[in-house]
Amino acid sequence: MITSRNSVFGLVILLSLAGCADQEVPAVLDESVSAVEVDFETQLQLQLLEAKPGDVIDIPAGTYALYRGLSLSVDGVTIRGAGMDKTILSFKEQVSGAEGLLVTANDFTIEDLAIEDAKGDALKINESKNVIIRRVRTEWTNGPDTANGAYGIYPVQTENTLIDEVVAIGASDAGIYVGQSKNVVVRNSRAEYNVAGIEIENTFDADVFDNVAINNTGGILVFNMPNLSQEGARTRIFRNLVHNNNTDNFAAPGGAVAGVPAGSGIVINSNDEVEIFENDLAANDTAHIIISSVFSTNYSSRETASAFDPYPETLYIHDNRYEGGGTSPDTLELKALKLAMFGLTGSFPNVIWDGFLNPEKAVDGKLPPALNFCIAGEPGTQLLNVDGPAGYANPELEQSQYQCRHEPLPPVQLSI
Amino acid sequence: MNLMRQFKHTSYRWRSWIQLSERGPHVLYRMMRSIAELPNRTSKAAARAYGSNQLMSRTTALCVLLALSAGCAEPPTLSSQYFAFDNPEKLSRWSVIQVRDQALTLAGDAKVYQLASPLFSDYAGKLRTLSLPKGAQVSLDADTERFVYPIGTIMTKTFYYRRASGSQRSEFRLVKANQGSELGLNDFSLAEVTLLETRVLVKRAGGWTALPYVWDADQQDATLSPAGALIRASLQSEGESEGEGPSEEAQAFAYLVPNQNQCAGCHVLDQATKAILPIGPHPRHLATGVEAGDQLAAWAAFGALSDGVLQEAVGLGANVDWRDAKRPLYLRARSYLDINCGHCHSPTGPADTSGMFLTATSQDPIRWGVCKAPIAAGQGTGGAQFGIVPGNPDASILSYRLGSVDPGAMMPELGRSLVHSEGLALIRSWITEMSGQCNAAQQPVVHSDDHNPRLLDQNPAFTLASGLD
Repeated sequence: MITSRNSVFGLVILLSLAGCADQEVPAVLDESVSAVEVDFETQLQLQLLEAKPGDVIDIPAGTYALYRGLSLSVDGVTIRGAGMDKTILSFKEQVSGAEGLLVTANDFTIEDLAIEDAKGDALKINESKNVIIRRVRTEWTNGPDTANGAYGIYPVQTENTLIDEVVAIGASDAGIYVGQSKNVVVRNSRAEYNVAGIEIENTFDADVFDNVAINNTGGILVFNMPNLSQEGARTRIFRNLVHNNNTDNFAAPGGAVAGVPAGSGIVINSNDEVEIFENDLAANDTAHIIISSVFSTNYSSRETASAFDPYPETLYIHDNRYEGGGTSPDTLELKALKLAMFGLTGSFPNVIWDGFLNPEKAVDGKLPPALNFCIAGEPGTQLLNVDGPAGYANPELEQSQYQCRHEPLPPVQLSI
Repeated sequence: MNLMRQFKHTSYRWRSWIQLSERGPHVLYRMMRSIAELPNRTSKAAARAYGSNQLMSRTTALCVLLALSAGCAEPPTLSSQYFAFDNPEKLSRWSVIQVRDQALTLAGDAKVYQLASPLFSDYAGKLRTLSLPKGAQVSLDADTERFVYPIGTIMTKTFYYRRASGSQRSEFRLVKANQGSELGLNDFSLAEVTLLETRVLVKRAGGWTALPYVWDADQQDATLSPAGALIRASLQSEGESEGEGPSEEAQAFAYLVPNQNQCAGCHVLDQATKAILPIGPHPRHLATGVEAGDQLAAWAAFGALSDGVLQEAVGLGANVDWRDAKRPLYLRARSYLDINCGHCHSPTGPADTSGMFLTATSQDPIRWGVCKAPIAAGQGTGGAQFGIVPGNPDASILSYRLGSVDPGAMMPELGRSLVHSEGLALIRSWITEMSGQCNAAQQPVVHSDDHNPRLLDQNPAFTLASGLD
């Protein structure tokens, strides 16, 4: 309990302070000039900070120059523009922030706007649940360039993510990149002039369908990388248009996609249970489908966490349509291999594989049925095993051992 | 009344107090009169003449007098003001740190503290304070090895630079703070020092809140700025030509005051809880060494830590001062990485997406990046293949990103727009001394000293593409 004496004492002190402050206030008001610029960027960032769940933040048509990365951490917010060619957030002059927009919030929707020329990633969504990204364009407007930001649309460690009708252009890594996530749908979208058009990495249960991947270095990639908290599996890639992915690789060396040969349609690296069907693959000059292990990258170092499974297994390729392709592989070495095996005017077959398989699981040097690569419904498809483990000594063209079927993967059910 | 008149003459504030008090309750008016008559009543005889009631009044009045003579005629001894809900528009309302009579003044209960190894912030000097609720103590979470502060705790960190001599504040021509020598409170001549921002961390019933305040142009107070600010400035070293105009050596840079989300971007140490926590004031950062006078002991001395908590905290070990060349290089490097990177790069932090953990307690070299492939570094690899290539900082992503000022490649992502040359040199030395080699099929790509990657003609990473060598 406060005694009456103390309360009086406290009051006096309080009043005396008020008295002191009393004569200072006018001086402050007269001379103070706020250091904060109240501009579009500040206004928008304030809106993002002060948003309440359920709020819709509308950004009217216009091109807005931003200097700092934006960020949102309030759950349940929708950011809405007036159209992906009307509301443009331009980060050409960005001086700080590793993203154009960073979201660390659940139940997030962003639609109908563009994020251009971010210095790092355009739209990064980290550790969020229930995310909808639709009719969003991320673009580096100068075209392919190593100095472009890494990722266009980049949800990582998310659950329940829908990417619909987006456009991703010019990323120096992946235009649409879903990492370490669960339950993902990427559909009706277009990825072009990225190193990787669409990349699903260390992710469980992803459906990638009705997309167009064109003029990338590699069209659609499904990767598992070591040393992460989860290894992904179960991706379906279907009804996509994957063609002319022949853009020279412009990634900064060192990253995983830096090793993707130009001319790659679909690349499966160290991932399991991938179903690739009813796609249209055309004019991918190295190969339409490439299957590889992390052993084929230079990342096969002894330091890789021992629990990591580097072998791609249980792949199911069926009912795809192919046109051209494999005629002009990237790098001199692949060109030489192609020339040696198929002649000047010949081409690689639809599928090539680096040949690494798990010796502990192999039966007679081959994948057991449950882990096998199955090719069905496309009688013209052959698989070239380049025999990586033996130093590429005996490349083999095979067909019959892959004529099998797996159970189709179930569709991804989004609970959004 | 002599004393009264004297005060009236010497202090405008005193007069305002009088006026205010006269408008106040009757009891205050009576006390005012008591104070005014004090010179006649300070003798022992006079004191004896008073009854107990009067004695109490006199004591109160003396306290008031003390408070006022300390408070208005000179800077007062203030107490930090805790706001349980409101976010005051002006920094001064917290009473922790404010400008009085052109001097930076701290509340009497605000304790200045330092860290063994501070975070690099574009060579800004920092003044850190801790204000605990009266009588409250700090406890320790044994699992996280972090301090748990009581509700009502207020921490502030004020970022400042010395101004280039002869320059106006509005020019933002700033001088690098000497490493390790932060200004004492008495050194803050506001005519020479530019205060940029003060960040307030307050522990409320619902957890910590981070509030960025940007100092007003007149430097009398700072204004709450949730959206942060960008301040274009130039920086030069101590002793460089500080004459008229920007010196040739001065580096232009954009000083970033983080917005509230960006505060959380570093201060959310666990992505699962998304709770904001202080980064620095925890045992291993505060234990600044036995020789130099231990920070933790100082905290115990003013009552913030019980003896038990002090013992426990000391037992958790201490980060070394990375600037202390007498300490082993690897300890200095790990300490530097811990405070600059560990808040994100931990198994619970936002940068767990990278698989790199740079906290002081992270023991597995691959988690520091040794021979570890990047995950989503993009152009941040600088062309290198591994986080750290032992013996070869030029081929290590870690040193590349510390040396970059490209927002898309630099690390940390926020909090600096300049390269910390001394910190970079430390990390490069650490990598240089590291033994071992990575099992790469080809020579690692080398990035050059000007931080631009020297690209190889062919991509080195994918042997499928070059397997017929």
